[in-house]
Amino acid sequence: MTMAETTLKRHPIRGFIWGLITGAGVGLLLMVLSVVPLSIPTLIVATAAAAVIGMLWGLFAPPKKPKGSAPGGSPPAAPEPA
Amino acid sequence: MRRSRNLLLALGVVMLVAVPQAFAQDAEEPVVDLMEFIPEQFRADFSDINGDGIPDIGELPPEGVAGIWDDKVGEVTEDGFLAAVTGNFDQSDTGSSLTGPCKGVVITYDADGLSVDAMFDRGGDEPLYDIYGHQKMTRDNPLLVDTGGTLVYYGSSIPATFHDHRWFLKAEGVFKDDGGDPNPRDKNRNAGAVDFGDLLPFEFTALLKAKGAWVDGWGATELPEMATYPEPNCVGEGWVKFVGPNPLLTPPGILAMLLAAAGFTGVLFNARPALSWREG
Repeated sequence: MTMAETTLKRHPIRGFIWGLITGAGVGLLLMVLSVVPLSIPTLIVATAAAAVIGMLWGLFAPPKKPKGSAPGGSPPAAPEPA
Repeated sequence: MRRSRNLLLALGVVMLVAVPQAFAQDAEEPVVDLMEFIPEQFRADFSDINGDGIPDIGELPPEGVAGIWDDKVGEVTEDGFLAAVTGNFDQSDTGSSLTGPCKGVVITYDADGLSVDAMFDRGGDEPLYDIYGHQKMTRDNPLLVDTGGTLVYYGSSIPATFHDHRWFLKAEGVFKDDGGDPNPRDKNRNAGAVDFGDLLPFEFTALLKAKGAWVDGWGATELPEMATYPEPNCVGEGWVKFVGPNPLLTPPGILAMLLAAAGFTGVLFNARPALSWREG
């Protein structure tokens, strides 16, 4: 019988790309709503900052639990008699 | 009981916010009659229909006369456009200024010809003012421009008359225009209209910084941005707020919401580190 272990897979590239898209969207939204002035340099900075935050999220966020049950683990308990 | 109490609380908050503003608006009376800035031959085209103290328009004045050095083509590439609409805009400066002999009035209208906002300048180093006597084009009191409407202006450089003059006007991220004229007929005043509804591909909302300059005796070469210009000249800088329909229903608003929603969903569900089972 083998013991089930878990491996951790991180996604810094995905985090960077999704962060980039989030940053562009949120930055543009704030400008459209006139919360911040329209400024291309500001939009670039916001997008870059969100991309870095996304990358850090992809590296260090709390990991998702593994799907399904552990391979080779104990079988599910039988239902108790009524 | 609890619901009624919450309802009363919400009503109280709304009253606290709305009532003082309504009183403040009622209390303000225009201190300037903008008709004094409009040439006599055009005055019959204006009357204050919506009662805001700003003359509303019946018929657009004729378009301003273009100078022979005016840029009639604009930028034809994306890179050229981006280079033209970016520059040294000081976002930390929340004020406004207009120096030099230039004077006149600017009135903005919605698509129905009803006034949205206005400002004037009497020349000299004083800033622009609104009809209530407050400094205009500051970040807190920007010039409101309807992206589906029209802007009308009457301006002059009296007592100066500019020759071989050059000008530029740019708003960060949105537009830049420039031009000039030898002015052989010694003109020192102009009137015109800008129809944003015609010029812009779609309506949008944004707060942005704008600046411009008009310089006497510069010649045919393009005016550099914010250099030390020879006298006399007019140099101005301030804030403009483009207004229109609900910002979230404009093309940039829809694009922004889609990007933000897609990106946030991706960050939450596609970029998070994940554990998986492995045979050990």
